[in-house]
Amino acid sequence: MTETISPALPSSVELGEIVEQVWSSFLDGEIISMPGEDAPPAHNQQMVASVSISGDWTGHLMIVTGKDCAELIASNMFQMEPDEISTAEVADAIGEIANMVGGSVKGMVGVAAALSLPQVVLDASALVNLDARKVVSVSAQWNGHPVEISLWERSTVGRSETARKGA
Amino acid sequence: MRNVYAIVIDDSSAMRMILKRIVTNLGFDVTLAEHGRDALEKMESADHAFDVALIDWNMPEMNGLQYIQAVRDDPRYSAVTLMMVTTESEQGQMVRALAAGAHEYLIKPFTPDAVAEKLELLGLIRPAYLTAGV
Repeated sequence: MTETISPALPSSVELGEIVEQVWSSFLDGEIISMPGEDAPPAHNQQMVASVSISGDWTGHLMIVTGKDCAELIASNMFQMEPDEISTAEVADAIGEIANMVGGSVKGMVGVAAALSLPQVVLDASALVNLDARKVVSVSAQWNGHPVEISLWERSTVGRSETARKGA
Repeated sequence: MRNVYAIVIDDSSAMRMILKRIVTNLGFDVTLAEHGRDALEKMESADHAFDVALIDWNMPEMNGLQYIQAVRDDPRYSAVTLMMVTTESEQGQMVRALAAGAHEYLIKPFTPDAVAEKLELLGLIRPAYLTAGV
């Protein structure tokens, strides 16, 4: 008989710890996570980075922040002034942050799954799958900028029930 | 003393720059590649051998595991030390990479000291470099 391994989805505190570890490794300034609180809306154009996790648990990890915050993230990673950074470099930087947070989440979930390459868009609704539900999120502040990190579970027949048991 | 050569292979330009800063400060001459195939082309055309490759796993064109297999299948590159630098943190993935021929495995996110410690373990840098600022 094949044993089903339930995914161990992170709590909001655990997701916050993952985010803090990624931020402290590559970015200047502390990110202050506020598990369970709603993020204040970004006051300018949004940038949204996402990576998908596909396998015995399927979903995606999404980071939503303002474009100015994303530019500051890229400025930190490339060690260049924000006005020297191209839009492609901004997308690359925030995409890599999502990749690292998503990779850590995938490791914690503990089921066989693959991580996609990052996607970066300017509108969160473009990435939200109608079959997906948000299972955990963390609101945070970094250098005065709001950042929301959320984990979404895709409702796939035969998978969603298992995932809910582990949540 | 001869130069030591590293090739950093990652599809993220931000990560390439971060790793380049770290390994340059550790004394390496660094070449950058966007994916495994790009790295193989740069190794083929280089006028020197590479001492170490720092390899991301998930990349377009040719991923890190495929790159390691290609390098291990080519006797010209038998002296290249291969270090995976990846978000893939499951034990099974580490075993796959090491079985394919990787010598070391570093999980992202990492610190500059963690990179230096791995390169020291591989005998590619001296311990004194651990105190170098990045």
